[in-house]
Amino acid sequence: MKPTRVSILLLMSGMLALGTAPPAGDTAVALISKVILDVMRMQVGKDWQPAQRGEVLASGERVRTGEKSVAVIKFKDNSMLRVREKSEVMIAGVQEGNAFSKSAEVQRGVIGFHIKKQQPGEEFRFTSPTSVASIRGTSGQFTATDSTDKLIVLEGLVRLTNKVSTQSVDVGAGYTGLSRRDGSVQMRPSTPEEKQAAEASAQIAEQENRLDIELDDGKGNKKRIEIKYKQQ
Amino acid sequence: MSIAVCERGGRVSTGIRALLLACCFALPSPTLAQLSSLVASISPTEAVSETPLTISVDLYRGETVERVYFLYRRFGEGTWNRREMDLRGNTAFILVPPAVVQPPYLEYYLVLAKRSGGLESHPLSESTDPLERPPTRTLQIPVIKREDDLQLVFLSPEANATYDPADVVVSISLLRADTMVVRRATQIILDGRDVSRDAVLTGDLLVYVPSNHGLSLKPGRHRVTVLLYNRQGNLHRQASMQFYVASEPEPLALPFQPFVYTGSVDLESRNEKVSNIRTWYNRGSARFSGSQGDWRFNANVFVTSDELPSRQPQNRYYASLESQWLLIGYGDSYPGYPNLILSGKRVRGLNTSLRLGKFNVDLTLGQTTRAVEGALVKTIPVDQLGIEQQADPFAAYARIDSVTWGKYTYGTYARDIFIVRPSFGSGEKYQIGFTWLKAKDDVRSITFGTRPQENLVVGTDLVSKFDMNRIELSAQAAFSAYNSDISSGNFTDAYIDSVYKKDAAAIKDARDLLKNFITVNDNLRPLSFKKLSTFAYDVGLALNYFDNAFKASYIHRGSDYMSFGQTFLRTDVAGFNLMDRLRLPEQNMFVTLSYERLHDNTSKVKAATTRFTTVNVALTYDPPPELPSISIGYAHFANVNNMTITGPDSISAVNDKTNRYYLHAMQRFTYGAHHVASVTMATSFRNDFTRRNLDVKNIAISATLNTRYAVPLQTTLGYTLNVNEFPSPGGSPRTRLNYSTVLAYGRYSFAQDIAALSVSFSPTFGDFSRFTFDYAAQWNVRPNMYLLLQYSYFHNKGTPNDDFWSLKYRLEY
Repeated sequence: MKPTRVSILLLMSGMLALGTAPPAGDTAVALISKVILDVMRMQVGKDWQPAQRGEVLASGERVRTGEKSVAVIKFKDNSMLRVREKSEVMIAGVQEGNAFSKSAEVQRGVIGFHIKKQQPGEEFRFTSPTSVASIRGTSGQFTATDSTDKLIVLEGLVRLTNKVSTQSVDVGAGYTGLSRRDGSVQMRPSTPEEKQAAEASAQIAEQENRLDIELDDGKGNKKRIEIKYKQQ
Repeated sequence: MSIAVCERGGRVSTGIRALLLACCFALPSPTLAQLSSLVASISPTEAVSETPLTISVDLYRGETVERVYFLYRRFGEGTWNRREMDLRGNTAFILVPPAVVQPPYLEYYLVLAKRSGGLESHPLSESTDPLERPPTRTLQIPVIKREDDLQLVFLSPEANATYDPADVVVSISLLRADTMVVRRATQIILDGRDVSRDAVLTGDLLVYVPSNHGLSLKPGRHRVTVLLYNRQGNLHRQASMQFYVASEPEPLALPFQPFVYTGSVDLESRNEKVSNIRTWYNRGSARFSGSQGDWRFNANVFVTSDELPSRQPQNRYYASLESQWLLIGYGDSYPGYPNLILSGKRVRGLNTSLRLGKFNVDLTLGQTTRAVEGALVKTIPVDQLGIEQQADPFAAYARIDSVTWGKYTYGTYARDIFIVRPSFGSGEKYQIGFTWLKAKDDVRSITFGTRPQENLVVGTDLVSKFDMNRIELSAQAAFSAYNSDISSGNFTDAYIDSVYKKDAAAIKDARDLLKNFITVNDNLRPLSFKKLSTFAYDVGLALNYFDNAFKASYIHRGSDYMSFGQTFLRTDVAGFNLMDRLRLPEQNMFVTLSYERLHDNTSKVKAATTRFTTVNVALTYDPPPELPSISIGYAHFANVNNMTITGPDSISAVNDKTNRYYLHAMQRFTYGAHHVASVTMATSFRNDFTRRNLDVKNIAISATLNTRYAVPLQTTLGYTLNVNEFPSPGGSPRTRLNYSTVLAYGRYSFAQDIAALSVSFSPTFGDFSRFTFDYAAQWNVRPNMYLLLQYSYFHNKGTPNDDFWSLKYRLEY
């Protein structure tokens, strides 16, 4: 072999050796973007561990919250779940081509949601032992209890299906769907309290709310009070 | 490589875009519906509004091209803006400023100046001077609104949200990013600091937690910027997010910031056969970027075997040191100043910027052209010199030795430029700036040159924003002095006394004052200050209320205005432009309307004034995914002067109208595989009512089906029909040029995209006939390294066949 060819081969080999090892596979479906107080996560095949903000969740992982605790979960498509106190949810995601379908299996508790407009072939599903809610882009709140699941819809349209009876109802904006363990499904207008609670749960912003109050004692002396509060 | 439907696409739903772009950005395939023999592809095929847009053009035979011009106009503008692209080997780049990138699309075309001297446009033009007369059919890059772009999604933080310092998480989802995006090359810039090294990439999620790396963010506003790069190393997307940190953090000392760096190396060896001549080209480039704390160092270099002393520089280099308040760079750069004065011009030299907020200074010092000596074209025996000079009196002659003289072409002077702009205000609420530009040809830089020139421009600019930036007022003005030949130097006293007898004293006083700034002689403009023919100004008012973006602007550019930093500015034009973009979210519609009325003859020295009227209407319907997205558009251009179209003045008459219609529909569906089907129709009819009768007709229809199968196979099938009719030179019968092109393209990847093969066939039938074949094999040796082998073959009718092959290597670190 000619020296020139040997040199080229050596050079090519050297260049090719400069690369690094390929990364691990892709299983991330969501992110814990906010943690308040007692939030735990359970990876598949492992025990419950304290959750940290910024941690990535894989399909099949569970998140639960303690008393007066909140976790905010962001899916890869920017759909948001607000896991309110004393709640537990398992998240899952499947990607087929460009379509990313995801689900939240609510074991118990209250979940606020703001689901981005879904692309063709995609859906977001809430499931509980009693019900399935298929969402194509909306916001509201889903509550699972032992006897009844409650779905409050603020925007869009959600199909709520009872697993026992397979009966379904389309729940529109401003309505609340109820799915009971006895197989019944019904819909009624949401009460103001329900709407207010759902709006608080489904708010997109993660930031703290602040009030700035300026006090004047009448003598020209001013003081500012900053009050920070978090919506639960 | 792009295909016609990508170039002409309107606004499409984001899901469709992702798949379509994946197909468009796949391995090389020929452009569909384009006859240009030089342009292989243009990317990107889509832009995001109000973000910088880097357009790159891949050429088939870059060595045959001396310059590439990018001519563009925003929707609603009638005037074409021209900028020179940065040509590096086979690829030409240009950075389009954010203000130009506005929905629904950016209209453009290319003009390639060949080394042989001719001009060729892309798409092809019926005119021999496409710089002045654009082709009937132009190209469009669809511009989507920022909020509709899903390629780069911020999961956290949220825009303008307030966080506790310890709660800040930066997370980006690349779920919808194009397949050609190199995810691990994504850069995260937090407050000007490159923190990419500390970010964790898990699948499509990129996460950076500042406090995990000892970074405590101060209270106040912060900005995070994310940059995506494609496999060619070009910037694919850029997005920024602003957020706030609330309370005072614990007083922590900033930890030591290690020096972090990224970089890339590209090598290419290329063999081309053009007109039966085989040529080798070898090119290489390297980029390095490092940061420590608040400081960043950037450097890049490009070297090519095309670099010759007889050409303007083909090699490029640049190095800079910068922070949030200071930039010092040296090498080839494209500094940004008010666009009346300097824009899109390559300057080789020093580029600096001091940004303190309330006070800032930008300064650039260097050369826009380097000296290229005239070439010896002929040796002449001394006894035949007189005969030769009589035959060609305008050439340059010089003695070689005692018995021989040489005949030379004229060379190019080195052109030195100095520009400085002090400004006050950061620009977030207001900024006022003052600019001084001085440029001069170095008469000593070459021996054989003609008409060295000199230029002086002074200007001011202002931007002011109110009501949370919903009202924006902008203005700029510039005054130029231009000397078209300084070879004779300043007026002498004797010359003034002999020629300007009446005003000799006044002219001498003026000369003595002005010669400190510019050479004063007969070639200086302006000649007087009465008509202000070298004055130019722009004024604009933008209002953003109720899902409405309205902008009114007025421009005036004097007939003799000249800036060596902006040599492509259209001069001798004045008038107004009104544009309104209306969003109807309930109806999933987006409407854009514009009206522009300009006129020339600003100095009132022409026999007639021509008025240029432009009307544009565009409607985009972006329904739920089950229905096709549709864009329709109409444009009307009318150019009229007051000369009669009959009689003796008719030769100067201008009276033509052009109507353009545009329709684009796209639908995604699943039938055995994922498909994206699109249809585009564009027509242009120009009626010339003068005696010249320069009517032009163009109809272009294209249909494309992009398919992605369950196996890692992507295919594209396309068909385009072009029907053209335009005037023939010399008054002969009108020329018809009808042709159709078929494209079949496939790309198959192996072992999770470790290797990929692509093949395309593209025959063209009709009045123009050609067959092209492309083959490419890419081996992604590592996630940060690939080898690409490419072969292209052109079967030409009536001329020799051409081909080329190239081997590319890219490494990122």
